[in-house]
Formats: sequence, C-alpha cells, structure tokens
Amino acid sequence: MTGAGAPGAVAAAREVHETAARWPYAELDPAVERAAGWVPTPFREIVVKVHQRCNLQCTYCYVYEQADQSWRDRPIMMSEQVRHAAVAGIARHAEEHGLRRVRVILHGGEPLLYGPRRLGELAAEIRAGVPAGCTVELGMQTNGVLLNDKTVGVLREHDIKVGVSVDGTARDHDRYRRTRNGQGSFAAVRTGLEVLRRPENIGLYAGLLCTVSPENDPVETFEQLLKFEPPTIDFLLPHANHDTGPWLPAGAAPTAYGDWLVKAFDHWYLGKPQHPAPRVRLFEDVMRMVLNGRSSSEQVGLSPSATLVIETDGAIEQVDALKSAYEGAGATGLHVERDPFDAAFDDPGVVARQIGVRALSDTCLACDFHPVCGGGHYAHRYRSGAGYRHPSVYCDDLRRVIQHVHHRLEADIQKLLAMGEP
Amino acid sequence: MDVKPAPGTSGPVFTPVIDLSQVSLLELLHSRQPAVNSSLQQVIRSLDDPNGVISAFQSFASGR
Repeated sequence: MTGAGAPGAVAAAREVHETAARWPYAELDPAVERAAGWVPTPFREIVVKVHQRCNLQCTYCYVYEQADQSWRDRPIMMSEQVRHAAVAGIARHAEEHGLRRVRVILHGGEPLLYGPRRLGELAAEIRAGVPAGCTVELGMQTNGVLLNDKTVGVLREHDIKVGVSVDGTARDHDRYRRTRNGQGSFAAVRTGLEVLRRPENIGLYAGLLCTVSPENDPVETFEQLLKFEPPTIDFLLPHANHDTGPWLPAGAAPTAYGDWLVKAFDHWYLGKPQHPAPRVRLFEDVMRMVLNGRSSSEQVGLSPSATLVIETDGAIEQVDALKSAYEGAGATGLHVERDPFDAAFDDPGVVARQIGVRALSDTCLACDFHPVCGGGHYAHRYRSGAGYRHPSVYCDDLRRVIQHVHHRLEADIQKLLAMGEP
Repeated sequence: MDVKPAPGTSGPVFTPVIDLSQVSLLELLHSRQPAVNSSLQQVIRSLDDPNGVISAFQSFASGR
C-alpha cells in the first residue's frame, strides 16, 4: 500500500476501501452530505500512537490479533519529527475551529513503552502548542503493567490522566491479558493501580476499561473492579463483525453479552450506595438517551465521532477499532506532515461517523431502538464487501440492555413522581 | 408505559423517551436516586456545550 502522505496515498487507500466496504466508500459522497446539511464536527479528540508495540499479548486485541496487521510495517516509536508535526496539526486545527477544549490521548500499543521522559516532553509540547483559550486534557490508556513511582511521577508532573484496562478477577483477567511468555498480568496491574491510587496520584486516575466476556461472572467482575476504586468504569463489547461473529462459549444464550450487561447494570444501579459511586459510561449513556439526552461514547447513540488518530509514522487514521474489519480499514491516506486535519472531512469513512441516522441501515431505521443504540459501535456493523450499513452483530444484546434500563428508569421515575417529593 | 408489539414486527414497540415534559427537572435533580440524578445533570450540562456532544473514543476510560 502506498505510504500515507505519499502522492496517490489517498487514492490507494480509497481503492482498498471501495472493495472492502462499498458503504460508505463507494456509495457515500461527502459533498452530497454537506449539501444535505452535514456540518463537519471538528476533531476534539486526537489519539497519538506514541508506541507501536505492546508488552502484553491480549487474546482479543484489535491492534494485533485481528484483520489489520499494519503495525508490523510501522516505526516502533513516534519520531521527534512526526511528534512536532502532530502537535502543530493539533494546534492548527484547534485555532481554525476555535476549539475551547481538546483531548489528546496517548496510546499504542502500550504508551508507557515510549518512556517517561519522552511522554513528559510530548505533554509539555502539546500544552505549549495549543492556542490560548483552548484547554488541553491529556490522557493515556495503559495496560497498567509499567505503572510505577517513576512513571506515575512524570504523569503527575504533566497532569496526564490514566485509564487502565482490567478484565475482572485475577482468574478471568489472566485468561486473556497475558505477557508474551503466557504469564498473567493481573498481579502487575494490581501493583500499578496501588501506585495510581495513592493520595498524591489519585487525581490522575481516570478509570478502568473492562472487556466483557460471557465466560466471566458479571457481579464478580464488577466487585473486583470496585476494589480498585475507579472513578469511572466502562464495559466494552469485544470487537466483532458480521464476518467473524461475536465469540460465544458453548451453550451460551444468544444474548449472552446483553444478559451479562443487564446483571452488571442491576448490580451497579441497585447495589449498596458507594461514596463516591463509580460512574459506568455505557450505562449512563443508555440512561441519558432514554431521558432524551445524547450519547458520549462510541458503543451506543448517534453522536458524531470527533476522533482522529496519528500513527507512529504520522499517518492520519480513523480509530483502531476499525482494524477488526480489514487490512487498512482505518486508513485515510493522509499524513500529519503534509495534510491538515480538515482534509479528513473529505473521507467517506470519517463522514459516515458524523452523519448520525443517515449512516444507519433500513433495518435499524425501522427499529424503535435506533435513537438509543444508534446502530451500535460502527466497527460491529461491518460485513466484507458491503461495508458498514448493517445492524450491529450485538443488536439483540443492545436491545436487551436498553429495554431493561428503560424499564428500571421508568419504574423509578414513576415512583419518585408518585411520592411527590425529591 | 406498556410495551406492546408493533404491527408487523416480531418484538415489542419501544419508545426511547420517557416523557418528562410535565415534570419539574429540578425535583428530579434533587432526587435520592444518584444514578438518575447523575444522568439528568449530564443531559443539562450538554445543553451548554457549544461544541456539541461527541461520541468519545472508547479505548480510553473517561467519564466524559
């Protein structure tokens, strides 16, 4: 494939896309969408891939274990030149669009492999580079294994919020999240979280990501996560699509993932009050939309995606989750040293993620749940050749969860109203 | 609200919005249901977001 930024790179990327995903790449015209009223949502989240490798080998990883293998051909680390261009690109985009707030997420691979010194330099460069009046939130999602006093000290110095990935109890976490020699990583993650939870570091602690598995007990999983006292939890459905199907253990119910999330929801919603109670992003998103609010995550809802990824080689791409679909699924052909971020608004894939209901299949539009589920995560709608205009492979699971949350909320709000008191 | 099957569909009709148009949100905001309270506060905060609510990158644990 022609390298991003090289002459013809955009056309080369599009050629791959038009075969692998006719919708949107052969069937959506950004100019038509603009004429129909679409106004691009500026990119307020920039994912900077500082390191291309990882010190774990998680079984379900969408970067290393699924369709796209582009990590093999990319530089292991982001060079200084690409770093400078990335910062300049972020600053320019913020200025051009008058952004008041930008989030830069340091990612990988495992971002802590970039080294605390480089992470600190990058953080300082980003904060110095954005225009006055634009607040930068810096974040990092890590597997937690390399969190220690030294690294957390640097993160604290530069106010980089830290999210950690934990999949439940030691037994369950170690089933999927192992080192290259097959050892579980739970013990190391637990130690890292102890450092992060110290009083001097607690302000950095963003929360926990947990990938759902029907093999694990949802209440046990939830209780384990609570032991780490996260301010926020999010439960993620493992990336799957109509070609792969979601993985189900033998004998599992068709809505095993939905059933799991319902049990986890009830445990959170009905459980003993915790002060402060952890927020659970997926559940709060569903609740908010049931109350006619908007979603703030990729898993549900119709809010536009405003995320752009800068790879270690400077390629400007869509989110990594698309790597679960096909080789090059996230590629735009653009490069941070040559192209402004606005050039991505001519990419049908980027546009598809900002046009809300216009991206949904007829099946979804005929379903009353679509304002809340939003068709589910974009990557979960993929079918080879046809593309992304299908219901999610987790459609029935999402309906299960949404309907359950709706019933709970409706019953509780009716009770509150009937009592006639706050 | 009863959940009834819609004609021509195989499952129940789902109306995603609970109608709060006749309800004082201030009353609900001060409710003793922390989850309801938090969700309503987020709905109201989003009204003041000049850049609009976005679908945030899911591979970063953040409450916002």
